[in-house]
Amino acid sequence: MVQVNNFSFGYTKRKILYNNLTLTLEKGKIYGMLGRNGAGKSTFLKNLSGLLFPTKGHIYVSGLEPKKRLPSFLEKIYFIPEEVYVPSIPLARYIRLFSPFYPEFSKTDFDKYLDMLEVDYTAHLKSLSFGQQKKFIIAFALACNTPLLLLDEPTNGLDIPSKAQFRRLIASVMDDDRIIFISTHQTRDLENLIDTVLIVDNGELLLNASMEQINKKLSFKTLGDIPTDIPILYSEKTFGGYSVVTENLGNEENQLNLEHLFNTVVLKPDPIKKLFLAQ
Amino acid sequence: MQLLGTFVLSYSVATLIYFLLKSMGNFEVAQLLAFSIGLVGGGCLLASLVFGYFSDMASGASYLTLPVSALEKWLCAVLLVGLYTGCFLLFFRELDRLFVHIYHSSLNKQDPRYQNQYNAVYIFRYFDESLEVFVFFLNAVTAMLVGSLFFNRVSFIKVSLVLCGLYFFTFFLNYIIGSILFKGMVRSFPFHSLSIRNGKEVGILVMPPAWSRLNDLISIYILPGILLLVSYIRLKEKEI
Repeated sequence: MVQVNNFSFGYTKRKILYNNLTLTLEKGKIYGMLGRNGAGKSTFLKNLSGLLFPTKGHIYVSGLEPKKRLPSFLEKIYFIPEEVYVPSIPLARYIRLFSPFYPEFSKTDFDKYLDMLEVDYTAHLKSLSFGQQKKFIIAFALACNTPLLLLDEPTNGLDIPSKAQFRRLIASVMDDDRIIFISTHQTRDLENLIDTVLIVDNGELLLNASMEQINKKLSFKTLGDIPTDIPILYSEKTFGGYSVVTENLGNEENQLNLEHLFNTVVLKPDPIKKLFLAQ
Repeated sequence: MQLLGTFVLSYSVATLIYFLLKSMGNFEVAQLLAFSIGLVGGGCLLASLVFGYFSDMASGASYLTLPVSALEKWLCAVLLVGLYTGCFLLFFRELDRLFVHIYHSSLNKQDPRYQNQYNAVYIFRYFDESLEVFVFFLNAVTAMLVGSLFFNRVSFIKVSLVLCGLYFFTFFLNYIIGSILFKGMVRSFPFHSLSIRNGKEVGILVMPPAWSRLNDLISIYILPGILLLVSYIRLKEKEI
């Protein structure tokens, strides 16, 4: 479990990115953090992985503080940054060199994931394309079986079939002991994958809700015209009508649209906060 | 590969310098210069590379999140520089032995100057003739380790510039203070001596032995020790 207590962070004293953030990430869930470019998504992931230290407050991952970067903590997390780094060695040698650092690493899993992502096991890492290198790192990270997996813009650099492979793979590896935390600004890549949505803007956590809660509270519809009898939280002209987001007053079943959810939350943060606080 | 390349590059440069200067007839200068450049230059280059992961975010993240303690990562870096030093000393000894042997073999035993020519060239004695080089090496390499953790890109050049700046600043400050304290000062060497003109004579004022010992103590043990400690703390506290 990840516990974030009164977390504050700023690159300079004047520009505080996060102020007094408190949140809990529970095991067995896939979290999706959405935010604009520069909203602080990567900064948050870096704080969770111990690459940056909180200015105030504390973060605990399984009871350990990331900023101490103890080996016992580091072997429990795997952080995949947006741009991945691979040394100039063959893939098989990388496995021989780095897998012993992760006690839960499974070679069988690794071979399976590599196969699913269609990466050649005999390749030299530097000869792989950027997308292939990223898929290799994703396969390695998943095979490490760390309780916390942090992915920063994981689908950037992946082609369309690879994005689908990635989603299938993430869904297949999820278990009750794991937390997968994905930060992205590409909402479509996370649809039907995540359990909980976190939306940040200007360093503020605007939404922290499960998909179930969102479906219960909000309604996503495409209508011929904008209705006037109910308050509209967000509307967007689409082909053949309007996509609207409203409060889900009738407890209707509906298909959540992450992009529209994100726009709604960013444009109307106060009504959304009010709505989700009234549980 | 980068580290291996540094080994090969430094050894090749040292060999080339030795060969060229020896061919020009100055064995003593060839030995000292090749040794200094190989040891200090190669050592500094390697020290600037052992923490070279921070030149980009991806490799820095990969290095810092590798499940190994900061002490182990730091020790690895220090040991690599130590390994370079040990290998260079062995390599240079063999290179020197070979060149000296070639020189001795090329001498004409019938020549009346044979004995003098033979004795003029001998194997370079590491600690007798190059203590200053070792002291400089220790300080420069440890400074480079610290610098590479502060400057993420082209740390070798940046730290070299800082060291040169510090070197000239020390000379300048020493000269200014010497000029204020001693009338007729001609030349001054920081932490060593200064020359003073008295009429037509020039005398040398050497630092008192106690101060000289303190200077040695600081430059051989205390300063490199502090720099090593700072590099460890910096690595532990490094954020990217």
